[in-house]
Amino acid sequence: MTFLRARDVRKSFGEKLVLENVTRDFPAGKITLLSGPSGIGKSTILEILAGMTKPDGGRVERFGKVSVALQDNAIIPWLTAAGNLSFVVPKGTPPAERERAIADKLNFFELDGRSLPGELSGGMLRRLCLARAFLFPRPILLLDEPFAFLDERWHRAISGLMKKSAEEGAIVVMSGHSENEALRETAPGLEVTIEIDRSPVIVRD
Amino acid sequence: MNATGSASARSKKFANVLFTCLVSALIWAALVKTANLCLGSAMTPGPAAILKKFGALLFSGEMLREMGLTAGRGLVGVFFANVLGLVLGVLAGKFGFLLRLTAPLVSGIQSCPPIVWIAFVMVWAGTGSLVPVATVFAATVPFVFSNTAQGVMGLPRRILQTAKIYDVSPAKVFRLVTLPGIMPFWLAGLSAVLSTAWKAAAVAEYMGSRDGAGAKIYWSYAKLDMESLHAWALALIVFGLLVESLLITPLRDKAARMASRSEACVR
Repeated sequence: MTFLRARDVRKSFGEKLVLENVTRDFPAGKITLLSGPSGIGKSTILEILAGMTKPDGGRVERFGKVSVALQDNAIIPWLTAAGNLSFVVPKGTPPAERERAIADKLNFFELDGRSLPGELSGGMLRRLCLARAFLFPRPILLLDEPFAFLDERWHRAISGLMKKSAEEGAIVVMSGHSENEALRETAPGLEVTIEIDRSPVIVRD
Repeated sequence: MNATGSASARSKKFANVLFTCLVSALIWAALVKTANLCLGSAMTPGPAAILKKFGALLFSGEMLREMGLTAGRGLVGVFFANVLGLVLGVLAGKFGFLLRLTAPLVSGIQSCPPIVWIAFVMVWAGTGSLVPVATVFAATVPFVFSNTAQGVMGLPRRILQTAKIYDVSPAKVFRLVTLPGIMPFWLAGLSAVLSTAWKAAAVAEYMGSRDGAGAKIYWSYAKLDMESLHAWALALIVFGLLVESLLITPLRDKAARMASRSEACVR
């Protein structure tokens, strides 16, 4: 059984307290949207949920493999787009399945597999990062500003992928500002919004 | 750059080299004249006599054989320095405490003049090929170590974290992230290593070998064969310039290009 829970998570950067008492269960089969202004701490919550940043206090309880698309993309500069996808293919995947999955995602995200990251625009890098996150289904999907640098058409396409993951039982958590109409239209009833409007962030169930 | 532009750049470069050679020859001739006045003509042969000797050594095959020996010894030392420096550098870059622990030792070794290693090797192992090989090894291993450790520390943390999240095997991370990530640092280090190796090998041969270009300088000096002394010195300078322009500069340029290509992508 997949679960993702934050319990009394606290995080400061230097003197600045960013998160305080973040306690929340993130439900499977839903898309949890962390909505709020830039710099308030949404990315920090996602990084802590992913295990990439350690909280100063509290804990994250997580069961299930994680897929991430964080803000800095973390694309390997010297590998092609296809190479970056191939890098995260699980060990033991049959070559034919691997090639098919990579080709499908490159096709979906309209990327040339032979391109090097240095040749891609900001939007294309974002799509490559998202292609990697959606390459193989994983039960926990954490997406930081998945719509950043992308237009309305892509908002809908990515919302469709998130909806599919949620319908298959994944826990999907994403952050965003106010441009998330595409998500509400594409996945009505699946979206759970957490409005974050004050700092330090306090989230309670 | 188009073909005309490229040809023009090549002509300009050739003219620069020609001008430098001409100026060097004039300075050389002036120095010989001055030295002749102070030391006498026997001690300071003119450019023509030196070039004649240089040609004789070159065409007899002796120069290529001895220079090859020096270069070969230097490369063996560089090879072993790279093996050890890469392994230790990767470990030190990965575990920061190892780097902090070894930093004073590495700085100490790096600031040691080659004469220290030459003296130790001669005492422990006598004269021969081991002296230049060990000297080059000792003189260059800190460069490889430091640059490799720096490269490992500079690896994008986010990419390593992402690899962990996606359960990428350590061997795959090493092959596809660590090795290519440290390559610009390693190449930059290698250019310093090669120029140091050439100088250290020649000095070590002078002190502790019976053959090689450095030893030839010693024997010319011992016999007061001034034409040979100048000809071998000229050979070392010419070879050093060739290594610099054909190997070291392209390596340095490649390292800079790789580093700038890597910078933009973790955004």
